[in-house]
Amino acid sequence: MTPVIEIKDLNFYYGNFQALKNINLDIFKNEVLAFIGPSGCGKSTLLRILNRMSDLVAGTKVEGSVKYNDKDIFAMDAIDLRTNVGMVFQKPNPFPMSIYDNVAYGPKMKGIKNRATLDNIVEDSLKKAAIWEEVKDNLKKSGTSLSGGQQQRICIARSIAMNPEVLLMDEPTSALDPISTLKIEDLMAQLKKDYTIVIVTHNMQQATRISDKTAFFLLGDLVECDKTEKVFSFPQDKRTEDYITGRFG
Amino acid sequence: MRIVFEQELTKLNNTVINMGADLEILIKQMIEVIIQDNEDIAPEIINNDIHFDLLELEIEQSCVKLIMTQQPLAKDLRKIISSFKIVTDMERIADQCRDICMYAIHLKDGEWSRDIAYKRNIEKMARRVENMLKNTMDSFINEDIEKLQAVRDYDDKIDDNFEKIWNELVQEMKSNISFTKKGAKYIMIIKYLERIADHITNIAEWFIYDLTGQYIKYID
Amino acid sequence: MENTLVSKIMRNVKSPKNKPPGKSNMRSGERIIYGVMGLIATTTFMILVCLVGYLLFKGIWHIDIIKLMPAIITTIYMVGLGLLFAVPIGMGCAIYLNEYTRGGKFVSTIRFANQCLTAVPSIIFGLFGTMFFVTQLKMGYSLLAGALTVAIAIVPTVVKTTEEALMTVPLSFREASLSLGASKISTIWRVVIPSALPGILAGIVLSMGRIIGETAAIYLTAGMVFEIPKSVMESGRTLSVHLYMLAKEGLSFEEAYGTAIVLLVVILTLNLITYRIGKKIGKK
Repeated sequence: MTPVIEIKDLNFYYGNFQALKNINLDIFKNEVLAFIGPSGCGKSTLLRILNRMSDLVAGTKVEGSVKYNDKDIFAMDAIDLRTNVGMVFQKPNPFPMSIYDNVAYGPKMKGIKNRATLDNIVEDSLKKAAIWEEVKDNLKKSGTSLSGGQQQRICIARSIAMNPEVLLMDEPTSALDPISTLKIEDLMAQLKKDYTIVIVTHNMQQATRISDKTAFFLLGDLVECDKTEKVFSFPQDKRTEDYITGRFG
Repeated sequence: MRIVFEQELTKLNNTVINMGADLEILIKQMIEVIIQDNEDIAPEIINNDIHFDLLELEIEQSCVKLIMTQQPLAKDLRKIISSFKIVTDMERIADQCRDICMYAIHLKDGEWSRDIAYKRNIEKMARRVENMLKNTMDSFINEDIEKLQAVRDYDDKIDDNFEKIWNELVQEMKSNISFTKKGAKYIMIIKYLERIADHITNIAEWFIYDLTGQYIKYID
Repeated sequence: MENTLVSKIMRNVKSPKNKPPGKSNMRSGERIIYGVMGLIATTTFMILVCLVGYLLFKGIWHIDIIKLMPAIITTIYMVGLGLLFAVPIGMGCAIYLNEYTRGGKFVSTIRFANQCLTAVPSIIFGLFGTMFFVTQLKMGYSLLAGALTVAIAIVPTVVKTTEEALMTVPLSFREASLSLGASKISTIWRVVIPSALPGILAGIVLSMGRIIGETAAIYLTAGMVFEIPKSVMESGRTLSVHLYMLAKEGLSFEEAYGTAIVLLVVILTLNLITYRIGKKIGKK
């Protein structure tokens, strides 16, 4: 099986600071991969490299290669890459427009103008994001008027509407209450069928619940990446064990 | 970091080790009952069973509490899960020691010429069980995984013992009808001893899981 | 038992004995500050009321809309033209500064220059307008020259307010849009500007007020012909200039009061219209 994303000898610098050191990692189709590690370990940085959101930061330098379906992502058009590798952020960030327009934003950008097609995409995406039932009568309502958990599902729907292959999630539940968190986690289990998901999380229990594989980062190193069950029952590296058992630092 | 949790885990581990130590004493006493017809301590052993039941409860409850409150992972999770499993085996061992004592109490009734010989064989088997437990507990404390893996050899030998004694007893019972009742008791005793050895094997396997994360059971 | 305990506590809480002496002092102190603040706020409001009341009292009988028509129309032209020039330039500059640059000396220089420009008195812009637009470019005293001059005068304000409005748009909106495969320009056009619109509009209202209130710069560039201008190349007299003339020349103070009232009404109306437009766009 060939990986969807193939990271080889990746080094990343913010100015003189090396944020990622020699990362080698393969991400496979329909797999949920969790990135864990203490703050500043480079996990979010790596996630943001995968759809080149890292471009937005000035003074960075990349070495090594990241391939998406065998294409070098740094040679690709960033817009092309991002339509295939979507992202959901830590804080729910629906645009200050209607729910419908939020979800239709990406498809419209892609040039889809036909109203019926857009309607279908919006409905389908909202259904996949498990929020259709809650908002179907209020599609004209502003996206920002919803609760945090609903907003985050709108954001997921918005990403899904682009029909990406990979979904990157940067601590998608850290700003949500426990019930909304569980809803999003359930949703991820559903989405796994259609998408490859990479999620950064600070919540170890969440990583155990939702991911197939877990990668542990420390100070820019990828310390360990293995089946989640294995990482959380007997990690191979002492540093991993110290971190996940809370004996870190 | 996680000082309270560490303390609780250490306490849990110590409770399990202490329970093992108590079991060693119990087995020793049980052997005395079988071999020396020391009936005075038999009721004590039988009544003492509640002690192990309470220990089991205590360990189980603290495992549940730790899982609930601390969300243990990795080595912590393995420690708690293995303790939870081991305590069941230990409690079963205590039960079986009690049962053996109940059968052993009346062994000296109906004097019979070859008791001594059987008792010597059974003692051999029981001593092996005793050593097996001691070895298991010591190896766990010393984190000696090789020795823990070797515990299984004891089990094989004890199975041989069981087979041999069982055959002899059956032969004897066939030729000597009056021995049947006593023979059945002997058979129960050796069967329980053999079961205890199985439980100790389980304990050793969970100790290995605790220390290495490996499920020995499913490897072969 | 519980009841008595609770009531005991309640009594204790209520009894003034338990109040720390410092606190009651602070409370009365705070009350004084509260009172003073209230008084100041009321005064501010009262000044406005008095002003408007005085104007109304003095001028309400002297409003002659027909006679003032040229000035009203000229004012509206001036506002429209001025904004037409200033808003695109100002917004473009603000968008460039806030969205396309990543700091640095060049950007901070531009910002500083802009900051300075907001503080430049309008008479200087007026002087520049006469020299450059009226004389050098041979526009003569005309609406165009006037509008260009006031446009220059208000561009710094537009830049500043627009930039401030853009800064209030969370980075997460831009990130979300870019992560959906939107280009930078469509992100700015479809997400950033709509989100910043209330702030941008506030800036436009501010600039509008400045144009309407402007006298010196307009007087020096658009002249003061008191007729409805037929083209942008003709001279015209805005309400403020008219008011200035009336008062300065001592022609008619009554008419000046009447003009002032009309001026206020025009400002109010334009503000309301802007807010309405803003609300409509915001809803979309």
